[in-house]
Amino acid sequence: MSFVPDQVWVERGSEHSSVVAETRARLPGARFATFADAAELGAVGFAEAKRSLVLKRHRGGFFEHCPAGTSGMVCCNYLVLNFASNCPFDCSYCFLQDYLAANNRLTAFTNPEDGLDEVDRVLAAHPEKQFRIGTGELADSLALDPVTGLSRLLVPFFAARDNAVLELKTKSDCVDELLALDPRGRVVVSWSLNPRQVIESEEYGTAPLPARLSAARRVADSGYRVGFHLDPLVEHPGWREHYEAMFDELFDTIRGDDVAWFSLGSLRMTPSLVRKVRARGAERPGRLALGAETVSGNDGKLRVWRGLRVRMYQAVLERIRAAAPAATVYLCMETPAVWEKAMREVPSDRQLGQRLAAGARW
Amino acid sequence: MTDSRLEEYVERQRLRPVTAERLRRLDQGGRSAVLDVAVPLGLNDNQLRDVLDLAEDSAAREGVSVAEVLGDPEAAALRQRRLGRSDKIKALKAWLRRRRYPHLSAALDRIDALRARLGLPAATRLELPENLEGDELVVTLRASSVEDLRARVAQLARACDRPEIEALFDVWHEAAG
Repeated sequence: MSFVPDQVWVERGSEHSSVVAETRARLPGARFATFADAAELGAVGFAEAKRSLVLKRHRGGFFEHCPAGTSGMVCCNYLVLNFASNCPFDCSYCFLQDYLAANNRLTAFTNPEDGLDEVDRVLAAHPEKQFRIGTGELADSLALDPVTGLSRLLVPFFAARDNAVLELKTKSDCVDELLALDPRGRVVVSWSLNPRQVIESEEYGTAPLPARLSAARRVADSGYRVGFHLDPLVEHPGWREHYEAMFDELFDTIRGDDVAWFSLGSLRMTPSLVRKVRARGAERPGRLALGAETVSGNDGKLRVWRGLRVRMYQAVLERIRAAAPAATVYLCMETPAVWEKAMREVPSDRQLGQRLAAGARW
Repeated sequence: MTDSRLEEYVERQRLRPVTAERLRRLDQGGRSAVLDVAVPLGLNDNQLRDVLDLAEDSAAREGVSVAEVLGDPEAAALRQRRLGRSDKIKALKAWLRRRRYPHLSAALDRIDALRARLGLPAATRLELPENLEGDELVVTLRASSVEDLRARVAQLARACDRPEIEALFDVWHEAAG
């Protein structure tokens, strides 16, 4: 599967960037046009915003602390590097529908070298620290890779650093670029996983489960560690059997030893996001996401009520422990109380960050 | 027919444009089923939104239509009960909520049954966190005199020696994960 935009918009001044040159070479039949000001492109709906691709210079910072690190939650000290905004997939529960509402056009930045300069400065200033850095927060890390070839810049960069691990997080199977590169143990490729029923109902446009697992097998065979994010876990009638079947497929394809980490996270949506999902109606129904037994928590977000989500975590954890006893497992955006119930421990943010950094290395 | 009924209802209840639009967006069966509930009960904007949220989410959860949820014989029976408008609305929302949250409702039912078996007077309340989302049970005693307070405390102490209180905590902790 590979994304082909209906139209590529190139910001004036970016025409000669390596990203634009690469995109032109990889999309010989695509329609390209230039623009001077993003306002010229006009406002479009969320689904339409994903059909064309904007290539433009990023003028702010690329590198920041993961925004999921909220007060009152155990945080894994993850850092995010944003080389794109929005993604060609259209998951019903995606927070970007709300987060990017005013700026929703699928965009790849044409100056990734500036982002890597930022990273270099931070890594050089703290040689004693181990950093985990991901590009999959505001975008899918690999969905645009067949178009921009960004991984050919990122993988060698991180392969040459001793105190950082790059995580490429995806729901795609776009790994061809990676196979020819040597990550030297510094790159983890991770997949967000859900049962077939959830993928088919909620994760529109993404790679089917077997394609994701087959891609994971291929990168693992090429020297990458892999990771899996059971996030969001979507509670729905039959969830236990459906996740069980997903793990059967996962561990039929991937050895536990290949896995750097698993994260578990409950479906969580702000009330504003829920309104947007409802408003999209038939365009993106979100049947399972809206139907989950979610209630409002202390941070105002809707999550599956605590007892049920702890049971989900425990069921999933049991299955992971049986097949991959050495893999690090962590909860994303959860309180110490839920950590204690589900994981029987409450690591400090620092401990968790160190554990994950260690798990990523060969 | 449904469309004119819908527009009359929208106007009579002065529904916000966003709520009216949501109602219009439903399929024909859904609109009709919602109006069958909303018109006789005179649901206002807030009440209608609650009913729509619960009915749509239940339909999503079960993979059925809004018409099937609201057309359930149990919902129809609720509307026929000899209750005032406000109590009928309350009963309808409670029924929808149980359908929307089957596991949470089942856990709360078990806890309520144990709480009832403790036989505490109305002046003594044991309140669990909303949606079982917290770790502490809150006990409220109301008393109008020292004697009254002593009696309440003694009743509570006796209740704490009953097996139901341990069962209540067990069920709560199990349900709460």
